[in-house]
Amino acid sequence: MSEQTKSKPLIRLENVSKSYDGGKTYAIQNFNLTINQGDFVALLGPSGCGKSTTLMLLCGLYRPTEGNIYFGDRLVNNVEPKNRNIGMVFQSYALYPHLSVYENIAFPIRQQKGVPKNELDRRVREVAEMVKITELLDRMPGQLSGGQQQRVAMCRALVKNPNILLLDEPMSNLDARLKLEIRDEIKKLQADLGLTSIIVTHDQDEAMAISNKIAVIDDGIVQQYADPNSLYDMPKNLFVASFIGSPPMNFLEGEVEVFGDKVKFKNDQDDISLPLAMVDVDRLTSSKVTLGARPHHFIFYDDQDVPGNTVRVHVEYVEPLGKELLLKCHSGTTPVRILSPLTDREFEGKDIRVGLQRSMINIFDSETGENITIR
Amino acid sequence: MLIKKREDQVKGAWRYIFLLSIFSLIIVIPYAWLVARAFTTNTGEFTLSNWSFMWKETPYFRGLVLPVVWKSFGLSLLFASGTAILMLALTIPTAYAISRTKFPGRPLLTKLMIILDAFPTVALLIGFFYVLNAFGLMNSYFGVILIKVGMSLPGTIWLMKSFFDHVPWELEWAAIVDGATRFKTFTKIIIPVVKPGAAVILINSFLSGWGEYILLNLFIIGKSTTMSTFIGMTLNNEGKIAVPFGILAAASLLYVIPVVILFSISQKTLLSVQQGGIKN
Amino acid sequence: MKQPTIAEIDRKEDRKARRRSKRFPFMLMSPFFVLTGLFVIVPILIMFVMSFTDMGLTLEWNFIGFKTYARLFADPALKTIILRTFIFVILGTICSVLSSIFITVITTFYLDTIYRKENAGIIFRIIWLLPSLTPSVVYAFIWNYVFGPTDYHLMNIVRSWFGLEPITWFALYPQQILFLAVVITSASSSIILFSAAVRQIPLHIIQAARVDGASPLYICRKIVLPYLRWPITQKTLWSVLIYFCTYEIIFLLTKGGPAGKTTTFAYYVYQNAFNLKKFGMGAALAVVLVAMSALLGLLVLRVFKVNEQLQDPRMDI
Repeated sequence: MSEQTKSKPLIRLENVSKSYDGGKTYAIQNFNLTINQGDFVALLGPSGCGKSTTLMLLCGLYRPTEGNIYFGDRLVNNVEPKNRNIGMVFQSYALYPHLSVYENIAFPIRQQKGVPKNELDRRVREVAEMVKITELLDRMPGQLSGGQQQRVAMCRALVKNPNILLLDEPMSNLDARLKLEIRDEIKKLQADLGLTSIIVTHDQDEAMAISNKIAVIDDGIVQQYADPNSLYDMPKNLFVASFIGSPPMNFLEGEVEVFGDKVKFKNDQDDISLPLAMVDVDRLTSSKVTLGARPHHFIFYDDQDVPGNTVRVHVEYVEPLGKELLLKCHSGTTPVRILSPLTDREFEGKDIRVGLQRSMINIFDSETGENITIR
Repeated sequence: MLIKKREDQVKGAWRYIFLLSIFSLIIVIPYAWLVARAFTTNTGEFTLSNWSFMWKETPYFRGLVLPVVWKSFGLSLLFASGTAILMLALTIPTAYAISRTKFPGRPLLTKLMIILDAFPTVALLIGFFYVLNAFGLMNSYFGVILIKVGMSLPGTIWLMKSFFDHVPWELEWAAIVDGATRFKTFTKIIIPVVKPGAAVILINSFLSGWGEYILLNLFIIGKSTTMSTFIGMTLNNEGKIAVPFGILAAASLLYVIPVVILFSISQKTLLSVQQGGIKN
Repeated sequence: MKQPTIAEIDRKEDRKARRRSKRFPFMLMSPFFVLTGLFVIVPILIMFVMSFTDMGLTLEWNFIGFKTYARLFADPALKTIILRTFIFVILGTICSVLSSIFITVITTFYLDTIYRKENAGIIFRIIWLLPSLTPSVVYAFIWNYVFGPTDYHLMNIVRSWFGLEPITWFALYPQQILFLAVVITSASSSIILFSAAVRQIPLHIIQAARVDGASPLYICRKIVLPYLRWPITQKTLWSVLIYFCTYEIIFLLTKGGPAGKTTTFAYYVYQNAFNLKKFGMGAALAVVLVAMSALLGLLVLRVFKVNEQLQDPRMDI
């Protein structure tokens, strides 16, 4: 696929709102999202945030209350699902329990008129081959394991050569190991077919691993829409920052003051100065800010040689993770999690001072929650 | 210790079995009496002559003759099957519409169904005469099936609705996304999924049709020859029954046995899926 | 000729789809509407209109306004019948619901769950289901013969063992016999529902309670009965309605007699219309019966919160 078609917007949601109760409450409100041809987009958010509603709007099972949805230039607000050329995999897989695997996969084609029998058979077998379930074709869905059911659901979604593949929490019913396996398979399949895909998930690891763009959704609004790395490094606000990353980002509350070309972050415990160029002070609504630092963005010093600009933490206990250590600490009353390389040093029960990789930290306006860091 | 506990348990069980056995005598004795009398003479000797209506016309009282029973049996079978099939055919689409679609007047219709279900059927009987007459269905078994189904529909629809309520929406979504229309989704996907519920409706309606008496007695005037009227006609003269008791007991048994067989076959389905029309 | 654009086609398709989805429920329900309209609603209307006539054997529509109702309420017998009906309904409901709870708890809870004697449980359940499965004529026949008047009938045989003369049970104890027969069928018809409800109790709850040392009786009171609360409410209300409308078994067993001792309101309607051929009076009585059961029906509606049991479709197609 050429670069040109790849960057073409395929799906646009413009100020889309959906209410189920005639406007009293909204599942999503003023929702904007653009998805390019060939993208694998994850809609990530806590349960009830509106991500599934978005998917249902895209597949056409719901009509938007307000706003417009476009596939390319075509306004599809009121286009029926069957005319949208989409494939969809459901959380429970929704295999038709009374039909064999073969008939399950053939069902979408049987709904299209005038597909000859041998053509139908060829397409079913082709897609079964691709997902490697040829030997299951004669079974009934009830006889399949969770992973096999998932694969059959994939086949059923792919068999009609859809333009868009929608996946609604497709892996949430699988055990951890199978999840990783299926995740890789889906990613590979998507890349091979160059198929524009949208996955709904509440699992940030899954979203980070599988997609090339993530829309973090909360309260029916897209909080941030970016590729996984920028989402991780430069979360747009406190919600995204706290939602993405595991162990999660640490937050220290404090106030800022400007001193010449430096800004000083201060709280009861610590005093950290940062270059003024890093913080967009014009966007501050008050002096209250939140400093966010990921667990592995701390710097350890030898006991004797501690410079300024550090955070004092009390280490409660240490969890060895194999390749590194997770220190569970407190700064004042705020819990802080720090990842440290393996070391013989005794941490448990001690007060230590750790520095910050200043180029990696984020400053948020505590009032608005917006990230005001400049990079 | 472990053995002692087990003994305790067994003993406890027998206590309840004994208690329930006593309580159940009230049913067991009459039914056992029925079975016993079907195979004995008035004086208590074993005989199969009570069953002669199964193979020949049996004279029983002052030149009156009992017809061979199979015609009645077949007619009852036909009547019950007709009732069950028509009931199912009307219940399934209506229950689906109420459970799964939205239309103006849906709450009102649902309330009306419950009121109709609670409607005293005896109040409808007079009106049936006129309706059946108007359609020329007086003395027709088909006419009786129609009024029987009409009377029982609200209750069955309500029961069937609860089966549809339990079908996951994802199945319906999947079929629609796969390109099926709602009607096709209903016929090709949803109906096969609610088969156990449909079986419950079918069996219940069959049993109800099989046992129907009063409507047949009223609207097939003096001519009905189903199993129920075969037995019922002997009850009509104030207990002074001309047909010998042994023959009647045998006929009754013949009438009950299919029900018991059908129920035994289906009891697993019935017990596992019958959660009653209205769930909390 | 101009080719229609995709947008135009989509708009046309959408109009079609909306029309289709509007029609869809009515298409599904239309056979039901036709049948119920003709065979339920029309008879109701006929009955209502007829209640303003004094139609008798001649089948003439002779309208006399509210005179039938006036005559009806002036009838001193009616008060006795209504009172008798209420006693029948209330006592019958209590007895049948209590006995079906008793049977369900012993079969499905004690025998199946606690003592794991499922076979005994099944046998007792089938025994207790027999009455509701038995066709009404056979059921009536059985009781007719158990309590028949001659020395060949069961209860009189039992009497003869004690050297007692045969008696005419139906003349002496008509109400008791009828009551017994009705309570047993009614109890029988609740057992499936109650058993299903007991089966829905998660087994681990009962096991946990057993491990904690709770006695079966305690578990029954604190876990099983609360689980049965909803089915019991439901069945009690339905029993009231069913007792209220019972007439077939009365017709088969006692014909309301002797001397009207077993005539309930519903049977009174039947008797007036079909035995006495006083159709106008029968219809007026039926209207009163319908009014009373409609009050009960409204109560049912309140308890069952119908609107909460209607879920909105989870799609816009």
